[in-house]
Amino acid sequence: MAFPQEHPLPWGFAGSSGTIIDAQSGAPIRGAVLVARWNWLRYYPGGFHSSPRYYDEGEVLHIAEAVSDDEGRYALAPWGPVVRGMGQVENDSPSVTAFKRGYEPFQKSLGADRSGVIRMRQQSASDEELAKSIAAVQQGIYEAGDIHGLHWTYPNDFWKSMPRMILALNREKRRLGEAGYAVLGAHLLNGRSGKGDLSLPGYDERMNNSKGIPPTPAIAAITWQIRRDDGSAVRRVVEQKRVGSSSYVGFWISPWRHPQPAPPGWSIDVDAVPLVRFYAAGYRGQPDMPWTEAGGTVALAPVPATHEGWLGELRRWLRDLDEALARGDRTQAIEEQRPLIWVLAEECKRLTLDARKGICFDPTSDIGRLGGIPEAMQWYVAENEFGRGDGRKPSHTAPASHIQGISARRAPNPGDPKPVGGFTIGPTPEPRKDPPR
Amino acid sequence: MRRGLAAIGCALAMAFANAATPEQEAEAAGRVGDAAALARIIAQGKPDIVDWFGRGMQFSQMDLPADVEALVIASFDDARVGARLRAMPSRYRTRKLFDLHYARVEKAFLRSEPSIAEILNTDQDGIEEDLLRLGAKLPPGERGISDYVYHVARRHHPAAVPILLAALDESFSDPRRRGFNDELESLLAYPSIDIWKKTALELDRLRAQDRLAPEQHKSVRARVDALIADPAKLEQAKNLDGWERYMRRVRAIPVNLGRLEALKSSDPAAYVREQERFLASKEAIGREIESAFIRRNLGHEAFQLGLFARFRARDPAGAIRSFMKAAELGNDFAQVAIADTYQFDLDDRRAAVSAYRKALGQAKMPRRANPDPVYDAPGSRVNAWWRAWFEQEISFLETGKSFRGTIGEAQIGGFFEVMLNKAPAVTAVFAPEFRQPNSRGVRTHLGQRLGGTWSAARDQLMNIGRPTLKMRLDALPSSRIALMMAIRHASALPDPDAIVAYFARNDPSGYWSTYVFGTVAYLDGLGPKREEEAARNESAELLPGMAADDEPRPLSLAAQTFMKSRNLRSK
Repeated sequence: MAFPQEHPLPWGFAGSSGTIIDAQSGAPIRGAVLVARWNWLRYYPGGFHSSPRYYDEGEVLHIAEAVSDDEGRYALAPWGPVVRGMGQVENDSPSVTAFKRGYEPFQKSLGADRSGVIRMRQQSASDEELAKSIAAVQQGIYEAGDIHGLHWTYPNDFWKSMPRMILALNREKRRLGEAGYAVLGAHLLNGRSGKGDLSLPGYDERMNNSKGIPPTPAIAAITWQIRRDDGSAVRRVVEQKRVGSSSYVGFWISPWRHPQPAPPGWSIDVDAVPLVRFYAAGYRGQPDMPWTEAGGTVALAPVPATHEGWLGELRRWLRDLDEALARGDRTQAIEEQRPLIWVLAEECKRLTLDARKGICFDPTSDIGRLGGIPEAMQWYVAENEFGRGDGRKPSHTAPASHIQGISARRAPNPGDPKPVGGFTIGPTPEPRKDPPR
Repeated sequence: MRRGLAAIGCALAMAFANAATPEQEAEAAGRVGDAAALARIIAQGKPDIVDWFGRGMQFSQMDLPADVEALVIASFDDARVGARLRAMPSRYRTRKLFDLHYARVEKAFLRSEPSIAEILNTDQDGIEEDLLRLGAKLPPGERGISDYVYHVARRHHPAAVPILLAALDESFSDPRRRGFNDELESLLAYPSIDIWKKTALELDRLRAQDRLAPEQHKSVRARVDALIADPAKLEQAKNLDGWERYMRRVRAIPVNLGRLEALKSSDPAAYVREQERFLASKEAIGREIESAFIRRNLGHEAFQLGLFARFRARDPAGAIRSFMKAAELGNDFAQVAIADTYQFDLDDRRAAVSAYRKALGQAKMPRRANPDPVYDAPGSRVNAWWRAWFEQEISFLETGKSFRGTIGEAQIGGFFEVMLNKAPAVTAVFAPEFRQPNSRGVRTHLGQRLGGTWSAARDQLMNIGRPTLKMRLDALPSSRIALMMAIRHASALPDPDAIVAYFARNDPSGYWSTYVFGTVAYLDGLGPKREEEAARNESAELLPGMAADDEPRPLSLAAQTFMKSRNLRSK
């Protein structure tokens, strides 16, 4: 026998419209993106140890997306009936999220509110706080047993129904820069991570056996297409980054990750598939491969540790560099290729002097004079699924130390050892003998 | 039935627990440079086990024995174990192995090629020119010159001089260098006024071309000029050079040091014979090079061999031979050891008196050249004590009358200084049965003493192994050398009669005993201040028995017994 909650029922929406206005001035807001979700709560009848419950598992019966017009008007189209059992639509549906640059994100269930008026407050908090409130509505706000928001990281593909919201939030994250770290990127949506795994057989052994300088980390060279923000032009840009120092490492390549290698006024063209190649010392490289959001696994084969095998691969790196530097603006190309230049320079240090010919840059050339480790190759710039972190960032600002120096000279100590002395040893005097009386 | 099975199980477990692992076996074989064992390891083709063999040789501080080196050469390019054989940490000796490394270095394209470093792991002569040729493959290291040039320069070979002179220019222009200039220091380490003058000329040339700032030039030139002007500096450089040449030649002597070391426990008499031969070869080299430092070192080795012959091999005649050799080479302690051996082991009073007289003469006029004198300078507490004891001991041996006289404050201080500061020269041969504390002089970062305190004395007492102490002390032959080492152990004996008896056996004149028991009696008379004073003057460090908890304290009872029997008092 089934519980009443398990029976299939028809669900639908008759459609509605409303206005998005500025909460302070009452002025209509144009271009605000609105997402309405009819969240589906799955029913669990419970058992011996649990009671019956409804769970929000990120499922949705319907998603509608709209953009407000010049008068701030929006409309949500009717849908249904949809027959579904084993649960129910969230009370007071739809749950509405609205976003417009310069305003706090809006989040509310509008089921009971028939007016359709959405009042958005202008941004008053700092950019960091704004980013956190955006992240909250992206992930979902837990309220009275229900989760309201965009359900951003749930493992399903419902995000495909809100493309304009995704683009709007991506733009906002980019605009906020470092302050926007908390905003969830679109690469965190299900299936968009661009996660890859790089397999370097024998790398860990090399690392363990290296005495002194460990092997250089592998790097990924990604050729992106970037687009001017007004859409008037596109061009290519190369981003090189540290992938890792292990036999099996994960990495992420996605046009939705920030910060992006594009200059101000430009952004990565999210519709163009980037090309990726890898450089790892001691491994045979492979030609550029298209890298989709689905990601993949790349296995590089070790080159034989022979003169020709090893040096031939480094020569290939040099050819790639020469080709890159010969294309377009040399200064920009050098900047783009700095990780590879650095890794090649590090590998050159491992070579004997005679082996360096034809592989290593002249130390007096503009490239040979480049010093220091590029930021992208620093060990502390670690990437994870969320984005790029910086392991060096202090959690708080410590006051400057007033210690100037410590004297190492020890003052004479009254407890210092002294020689044994202060007494003599000698025969015990004979007891005086009194004369007999 | 069940018990039987349990017994079998236990027996099997113990058998497995006691069985040496292949790694342990390889290391043990390496310690004695066992070529047959290495041949078996190579045949098995286990590189890790080769490492353990090499580690064993490293523990024994030995160079590759000839038969082991022959195996390394034969399997140099072995696919399984060749790399590990080539990387053995012990120094190699043959030209053949050098040539094999040379061929690998010539072909190398990676600086991580192990032969690039391994080729330098030798002291053989005649490789310098070849190394300099290979030097072109290596970039300058942190020293500014390649390791090969530095290696050749360290041997003061003339072929490195032009390279070093040429590298001077760069050495001053590199701003990363602070304080130490390897090229300059390498040139100034050559024991040659001619090379120092060439260095000065090069410095002038660099200054003339403005490659060297006036202040740099002035400061460096002043240093070189001071060397050229002072003949003592040349002598010092020659001494150092001589020592390095001596060590290279000593290492070339085909002696399996690991096997020799193993004889110490397996056949002490054979160890003494082999070491005497080895020492004779070293002496022959030392005579050719002629340096006071080498003589002192040989003297020290002969003295230690004498101690081993006497206390481990129980061969007093052999000990006298080595002590005499050591004394001849300038070791002052050896003269005391000769007198002691005649007195106790050989029971030759006349020879003992003669030896003590000679020691007394040396104490009156200590050798100036010795940087670590036994007797210290005349007028010091240490010198006063040695002289007082020698005179007393001569008197005792001549008259048979034990000591009963007055001891002054200076001699008391001298006795403790000698026992604390000079005894380390004789303690090594008695290890590991008798451990010596090493906390004396240790302080915290705030300057508080950690060693030499009352609690350090209690710690010594806890770790001295009192239950077996009497048995261990009784096993030692009578000797003041042994007493010097074991004075702290004897003070810790739990039985007052045993303390008195041990001192009586090793100090028949009672002279040393008077210092020990007189000091204990004096400190016991201080009452509550006893601990503080004993820690402060370090008598507790030498006599940890004073810190015993037993009531009454055995050492105090022994002191009372001794002082009463001799009718002595401390005041």
